[in-house]
Amino acid sequence: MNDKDEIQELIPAYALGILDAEEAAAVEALLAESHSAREELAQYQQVSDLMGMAAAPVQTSADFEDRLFARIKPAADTATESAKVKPVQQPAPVHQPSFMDRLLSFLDPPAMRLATGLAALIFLVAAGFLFSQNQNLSNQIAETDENLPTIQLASVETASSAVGMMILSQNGANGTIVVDGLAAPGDGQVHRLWMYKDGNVDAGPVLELNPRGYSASWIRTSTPLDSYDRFEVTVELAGNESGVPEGDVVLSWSSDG
Amino acid sequence: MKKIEQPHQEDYLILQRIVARDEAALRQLMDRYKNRLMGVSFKVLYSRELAEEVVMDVFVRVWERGSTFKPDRGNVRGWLMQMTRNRSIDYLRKSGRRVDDEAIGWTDVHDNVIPSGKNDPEKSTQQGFLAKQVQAALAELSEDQQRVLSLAYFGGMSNSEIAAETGIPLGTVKTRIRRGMLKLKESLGTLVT
Repeated sequence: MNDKDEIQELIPAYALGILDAEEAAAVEALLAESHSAREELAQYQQVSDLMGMAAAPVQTSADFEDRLFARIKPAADTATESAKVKPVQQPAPVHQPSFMDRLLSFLDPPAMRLATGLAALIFLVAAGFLFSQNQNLSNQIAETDENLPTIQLASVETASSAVGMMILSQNGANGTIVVDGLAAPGDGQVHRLWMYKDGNVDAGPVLELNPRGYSASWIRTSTPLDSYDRFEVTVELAGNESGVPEGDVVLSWSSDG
Repeated sequence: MKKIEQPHQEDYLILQRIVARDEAALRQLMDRYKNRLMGVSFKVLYSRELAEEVVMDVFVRVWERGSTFKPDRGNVRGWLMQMTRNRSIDYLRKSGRRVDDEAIGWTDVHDNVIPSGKNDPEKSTQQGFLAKQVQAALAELSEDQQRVLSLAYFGGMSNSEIAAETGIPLGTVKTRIRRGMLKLKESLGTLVT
């Protein structure tokens, strides 16, 4: 798809968020270079927002607000719930043979003791060699850390298998985000990085995961990366270019911890 | 990165109070919009329980991340509507269900609908007036255009999914979407700047 008029005609559907990935990418390329296209999109996004007003209002249940405020005060609720938990009755201790008891029993024949001693000696020599090799590698990595600042992203409970790290350039201006173990997003969803500074948010790259949940993406931004005070990776609807995160957070980092 | 300007809008002032952890402001914003947002979510999910879950998620998000709202990209109402629609469609997809083609017309009435003005007569009157303008603009569209737009808006269906669902050729679907949206933009006139 490369005809500019044809792509321009997709802007209303783009505002509704209903284009497939290829069409959406074509529109985004046009938006990047065309001011009039961006203005047209802004108008159609207003139309899209207004369309929801045509739906008849529906009453919430009577306890809606109570449940909402219970959710936004989880700490207080957790404390209350903890106080309600009854102590669990511990079973009486049962004597079990210790590891040493079982080992001495196993090594009871003298020949067995000699063979085990030789095996232990070989193991210690091999372990010493491997340890020295590992120390060399660790030293090299440590030297790298001194040159390239890194930021460790923390995972949320619902994405506990995910890990993430940002590797910044020496001057802190540019960087790369590396993630692993992220669950595949649902149909029509993507993972995206968001960068916060002084109450504003910038959209970072969409993370293209391999089947294992690994991705390494270059972060392009005109603002130095080390000036941001918060980073988040969220799950967003593909094609959502609202400029603000709307999905659930899976990884995050904050300068205030 | 654009700087946040200070628009003289009540909703934005309420949002700023929410960012400052003012619970009364959150209640105020809910009084204004929760039923409207429920209306959107209900149209997508056709379940009051699920719609409440979605709308609650939206207000929790407003409480936790209201500071991420960008006034230069739209108004608070549009932001709430967009979050509600996106989350509702997300729920719909995760559930593996498809939106009910027959249930999502623009003018249906169902048992859960409430009269405007219950919580905040002045604000609801404004919203009721706005809703009537949008409904009138939609009524000017052909039935074919209304149908594809309802499948797109409430069903979150792509052009090709709508074509497959309705048996309408893909090119025709695209044309109906484009012309319908253009006509809406023209009809809504000053509401779209």
